[in-house]
Amino acid sequence: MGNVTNFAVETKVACAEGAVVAIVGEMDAYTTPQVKVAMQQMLDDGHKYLIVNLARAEYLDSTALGALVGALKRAREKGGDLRLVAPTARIMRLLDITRLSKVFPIDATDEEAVAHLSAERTGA
Amino acid sequence: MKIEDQTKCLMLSLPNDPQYGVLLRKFVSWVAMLEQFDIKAIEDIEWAVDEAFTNALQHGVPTVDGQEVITVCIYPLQDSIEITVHDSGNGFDPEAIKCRQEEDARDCEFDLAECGRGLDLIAASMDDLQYDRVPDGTRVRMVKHRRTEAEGT
Repeated sequence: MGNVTNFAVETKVACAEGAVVAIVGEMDAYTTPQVKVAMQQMLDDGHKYLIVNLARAEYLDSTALGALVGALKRAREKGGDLRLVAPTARIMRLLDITRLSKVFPIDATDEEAVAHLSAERTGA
Repeated sequence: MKIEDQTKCLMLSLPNDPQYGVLLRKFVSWVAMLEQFDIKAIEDIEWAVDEAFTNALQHGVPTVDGQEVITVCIYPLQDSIEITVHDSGNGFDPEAIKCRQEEDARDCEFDLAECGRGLDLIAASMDDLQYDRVPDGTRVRMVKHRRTEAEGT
């Protein structure tokens, strides 16, 4: 069928030991493996603090949530963390239904997430 | 609820392949929109059908003739919409999954489980939900009622 959803994963280094993974489009059973690979790559590269930007994520399903939880666990195993940024109202509702809004720290912007992670790193 | 008139079914048969999930979501969204469900209900229906499709992908197995087909039927009714997702394999045991979730919850690990949220999401999104073992596979039957403005969603 090709790429009918214009799905993309964008990564960038945000700070020392921290990286942003931005999800664009619909993250489902078909596209989630790409996000898992991107998040694992960032962790393997020494970025133990992950910021997952959901501002342009149009849809998440349970496989997507599983991948985010998996990355959170792996980040914490390395002494890091994973924060979500700017989920849409729909995705926020999904996080509430699945009780994951109590698990993931959520920020409005990448900058806000970086500030929280910097405070975590320095123990402030 | 039981549908007697099969001719009212809007049917989509899909290969057992996750790339067709987006097609299925668009299909059910459009039908729900045409049936004048509100946006929140459309989102719920889309989630539930997608999760049922994903379960069928994971737990369905080929039939004796080697086909792996997932069939979705949508029945627009006067005050509701009923959707069935039928896979061609032995399916899965929802009770087993529920038990695993309960075990996980007892261990306080559920919030960090990497799987098992799909059935919860279906249950939270739809008004009625039923799993049936049928001779040629497993069928998930889901119903969403249309709310009036006074009822809200």
